Amino acid sequence: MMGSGGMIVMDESSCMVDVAKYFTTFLQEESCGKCVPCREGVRRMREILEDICTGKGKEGDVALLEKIATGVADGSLCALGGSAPNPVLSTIKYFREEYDAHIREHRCPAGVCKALITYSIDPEKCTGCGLCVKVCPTQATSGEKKKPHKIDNEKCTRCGACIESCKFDAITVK
Amino acid sequence: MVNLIIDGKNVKADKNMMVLEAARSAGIDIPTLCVHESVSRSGACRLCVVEIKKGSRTRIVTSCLYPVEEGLVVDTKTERVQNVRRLVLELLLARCPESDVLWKMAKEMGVEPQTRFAVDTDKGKCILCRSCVRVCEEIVGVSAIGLFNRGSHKTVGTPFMEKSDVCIGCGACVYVCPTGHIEMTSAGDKRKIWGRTFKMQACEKCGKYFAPIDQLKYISKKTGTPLKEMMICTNCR
Ligand code: SF4
Ligand code: SF4
Ligand code: SF4
Ligand code: FES
Repeated sequence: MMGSGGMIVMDESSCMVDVAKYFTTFLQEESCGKCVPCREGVRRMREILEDICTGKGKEGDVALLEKIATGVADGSLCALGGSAPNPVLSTIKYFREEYDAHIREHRCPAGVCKALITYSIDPEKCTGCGLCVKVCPTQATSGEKKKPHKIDNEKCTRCGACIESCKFDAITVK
Repeated sequence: MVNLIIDGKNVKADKNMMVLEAARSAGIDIPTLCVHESVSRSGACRLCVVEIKKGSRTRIVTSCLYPVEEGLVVDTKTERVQNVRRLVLELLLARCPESDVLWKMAKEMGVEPQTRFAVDTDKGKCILCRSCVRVCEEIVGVSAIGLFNRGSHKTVGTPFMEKSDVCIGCGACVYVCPTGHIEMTSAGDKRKIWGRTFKMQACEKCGKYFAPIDQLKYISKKTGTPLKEMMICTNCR
C-alpha cells in the first residue's frame, strides 16, 4: 500500500481513514515542495481526510480525493509524488464503506476517530468496582460503590484508560 | 531535424528543441507558468504536461523539459493531461486567490475554483515556480533570494526574511515572476524591494531616475566600465 515497498498488517481495530490520514500527514512532511501537484495536492488530501476523521466530511469527498490522488500521481515530478496517493487510493478501493460511515453517519466503525466515538458503561456488566474512576485522568467516570457507573461525555477525552482498566468488559466504544 | 507527431499532426523540429517549443512552432498551444526565456527550467508548475506514446506505453511528461525525439507521438489534450492541468489550477487558485494571472488562465481553460479547499491567506501570489531565484542567481549573479523550508512550508525571499546586503535592487526578479508576487515600488529617487530601500541614479541627460546606484556599482565592478560612464540611461545613450 505504501510506495516504499513496506507492508503493514492491520486488523479490524484500525480505522482505514485514520490510516490514510496518518500516511498522508507523513508524506506531506516528506514532500520537498518543488512541484505543485505533490506540494499542494498532498496537503489538500490531508485536510479532507482530517475533516472526514472529525465528522466534517462532505458528500462527494471520496470522489474528490480520488480525483486529487489521480492528478497527483500523474502530475508529480518524482517518485515520491507519484506514489504519495497510494494510501488514499487503496483504502478507498478496499474500505470504501468505512469512508461512507464516517461521512454519512458520522461513525467510525473501528472506534478510532476520537471525534466520532463515545464511551459508555453497560449497566448489566458493571459491578461498580470503581477502577475506572481511579484511572480516568479527567474525572469523567463516576458512580456509587457497587452500583453501575456512568461516563460524562463532555469530560471524556476518549483516552481509553477506563477500557484498559475494566475487568468486566463493561465499557464499550460506539 | 527530427520528425514527431503532435495531436495527429506531423511536426518537424530542431533536434535541440523541447516538446513545448515543437508544439508551439506547429501552432499548438500548451499552457505554462514556470517557463521564462531568461532562466533555466525547473518543471515546478506541471501545467505543461502532455502524454507521450512509445510503443504501447503512454506516459505523462512535462513538455517544457522533454526533448523531442524521432518518431515520438505526443498528445497534448488527452483526458489524463487535462485532469492534471485542471488540478494544478484548482490547487494554485486555492493557494493564491488574488492572482489575476491564475484567474485568467482558469477562465480560458474552463476551470472553476474548488470550493472544498480552504483558501490560503498567507501565500500572496507566489506559486513557488523558482524563476525569481534563478534569474537572480543565473543572470544577475548575486543570489540574493532563495526558496526556504520544505514541502508545504516552502516560501520565497531573502535569507531569514532579513534585508539582503547582496541584492542590488535591479528588479529582474519582478520582471520574470509570472504572477506579480514580488512588490517593487518607486517614488522619486527611492525604490523599495524585498524590504530594502535603494537610492536611484538620475540620468545625467534627461534627469529620469533609471537604476539603483547599487546596481550601477555592481555592473561597473563586474564589467570594468567606470561608474562615471554609466550615469546616462539607455534612452539617452
Ligand atoms: S513529487 Fe517529488 S519533486 Fe514534486 S514536490 Fe513531491 S517530492 Fe518534490
Ligand atoms: S532585485 Fe535583488 S533579488 Fe531581485 S533579481 Fe535583482 S538582485 Fe536579485
Ligand atoms: S515570487 Fe514569482 S517568480 Fe518567485 S517563485 Fe514566486 S511566483 Fe515564482
Ligand atoms: S511550464 Fe513546464 S512545468 Fe511549468
